Amino acid sequence: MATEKTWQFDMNRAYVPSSLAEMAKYVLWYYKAFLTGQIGGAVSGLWTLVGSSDAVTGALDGVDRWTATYNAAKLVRAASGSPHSWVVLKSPLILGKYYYLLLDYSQSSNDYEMNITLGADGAPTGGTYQAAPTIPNSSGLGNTDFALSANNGPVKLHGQLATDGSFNVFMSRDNTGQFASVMLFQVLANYKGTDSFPCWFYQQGDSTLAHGVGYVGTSPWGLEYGTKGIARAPDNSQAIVTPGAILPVSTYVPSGPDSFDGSYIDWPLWIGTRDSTTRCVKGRLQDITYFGGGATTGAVDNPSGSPSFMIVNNFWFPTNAAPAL
Amino acid sequence: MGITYEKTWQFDMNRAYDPGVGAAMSALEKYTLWYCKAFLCGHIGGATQGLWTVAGSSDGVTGGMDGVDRWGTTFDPAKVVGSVSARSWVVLQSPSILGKTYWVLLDWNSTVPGTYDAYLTLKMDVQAPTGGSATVAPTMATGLGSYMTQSGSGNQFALCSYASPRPGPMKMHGMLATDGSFIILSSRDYTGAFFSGFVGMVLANCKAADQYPFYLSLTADITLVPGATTGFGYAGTLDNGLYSVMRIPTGTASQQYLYQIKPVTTRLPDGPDIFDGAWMNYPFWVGDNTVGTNRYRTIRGRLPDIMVHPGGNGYSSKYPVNSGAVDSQNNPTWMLVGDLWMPTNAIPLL
Repeated sequence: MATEKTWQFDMNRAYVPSSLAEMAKYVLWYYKAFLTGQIGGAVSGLWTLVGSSDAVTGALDGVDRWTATYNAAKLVRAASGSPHSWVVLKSPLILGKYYYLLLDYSQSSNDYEMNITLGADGAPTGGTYQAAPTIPNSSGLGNTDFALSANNGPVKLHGQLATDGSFNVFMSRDNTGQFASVMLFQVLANYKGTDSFPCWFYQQGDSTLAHGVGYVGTSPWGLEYGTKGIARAPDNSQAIVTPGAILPVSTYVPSGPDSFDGSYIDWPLWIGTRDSTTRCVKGRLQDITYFGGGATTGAVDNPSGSPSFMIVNNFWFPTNAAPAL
Repeated sequence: MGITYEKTWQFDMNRAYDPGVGAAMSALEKYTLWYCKAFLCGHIGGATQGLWTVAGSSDGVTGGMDGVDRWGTTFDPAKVVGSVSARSWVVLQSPSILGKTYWVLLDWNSTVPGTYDAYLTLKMDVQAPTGGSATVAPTMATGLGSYMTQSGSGNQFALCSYASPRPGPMKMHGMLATDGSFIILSSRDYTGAFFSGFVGMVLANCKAADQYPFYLSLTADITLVPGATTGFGYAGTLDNGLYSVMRIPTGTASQQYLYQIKPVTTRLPDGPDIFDGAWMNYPFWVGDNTVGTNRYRTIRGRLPDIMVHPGGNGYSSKYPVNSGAVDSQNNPTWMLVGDLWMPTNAIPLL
């Protein structure tokens, strides 16, 4: 398999947190730091920071209050209205649009959860050290898991940024064999000609590591359920409800690699929804494909050479190294 | 339904044929077979681009790989003869498809009359066949296909029921793209379904190393029952891959039994696309999941302009479930063929 996009990788970035709460802070900081090129070495397709709060001051003034070097004190969780941390990241120009991503650590009780908002219809406004900015015509994910609720220990972050601004960022807890969370943003292919917003955002964590992310079959773990996805209608008239991946039939499970090129079988994945008010097929995921079975999470397509894809439960994702899980 | 074609299609929909009361079942089979040749060669239907040519033929009297069309440009049932001995066959030669030429053999080496006269041998090669006579089909040195064995194997291509009081009336539906891709469907009037489909398709989204992305399939529901959710295109026909062939990507041999990859059935929508009014359609990929004789585990590519219609056979009462439904009564561009969407320019009369 060859990737369709050009990816920059920061795989197996290790960190040993002092507590579960501190683990979450590092994961959250890494999202910002990797996507803006502060850690991991990505130089193309970078997102830029347009505003932040460290729970002391906060504004949409381009100041990175989370700082380029990790400082746990800058990541403060508290309910909205109380001093807390947030950051707004702006995408590179994607087919004429800028996407604004708000990571808002406004959770009242759980350190491993946050609130996320995504919009592409103009710059956000407002924002203080107590209240996150407002993004026009945005969609949100509330109280979504991105870290662990138990089992503190060494973790690894795995960053993947494409030159078009698409990204996948994973977190794994060592010695679990699973990815505990993923946040991804994908510029789709094969979208309708009238679609001005051919992108899909997804964030999901399995805070108790029951299955790990990418698991198919038990809501809401799998990409196919889409309850943790965000997409806009092609005409931007509304948010699309539960956009998820369309899987191939489950009876079609191969027992080994492609006969001709030695790659593992991978099926294209399309993003769509069957919701009665936003029913549509948005487009195809690039470099994220369905894996029918036969290997476990963390396996790579070329274990002795240069891996280009890794298994995340039932899906292939790009990589340049075997993930150490 | 708001979706434009990827290929440029030429249509010959609802071409009627009725062999009349008392005619043998084979009359319908003969016309089905003759039409496949005639439409692809531009003898009927008006297609002018992407045409195939007759590289050789037999009418059961004489035969050879000499470019002679012994089946004729006008239908003559006497020229299309099914038999295990002196019989009809035709070799169709493709236009240049991505720099390659394909030869397709339709060999009606069946017993007549009986159930197995609705079967034939289908083969495809990328080398010109040799030999061939009135009693022997030409040799395809590296070709592969389905072999009629008089016991139920081979490609089904017609009906073997409805002989009384008459086998017809029937209709043929031809679609030929300018790149040589084609879809030929046949239907028996008053059944509400298509009974056969002959599909040759230049795939899209193939791997770069694939030199032979041309997919060929021929199958039928030979005992079609009126009103039943059976017939060509329903789950278990085009998707089951038993009657398909492709050259392998590197071209040294052929592979059979290519399946179509469908989307998961748990995500069935219950209505059309909200934003363009299209009935939900999912891309359709071709591959196989098993290694064996003439079988290779691979995904070869996507079928352009053929898509999965997930609301077919009993899936949802809110969906059009019957073959023949179209996306627009006034200006149809897509029609339902079992569980599949296929291009059209007219409402199929089934």
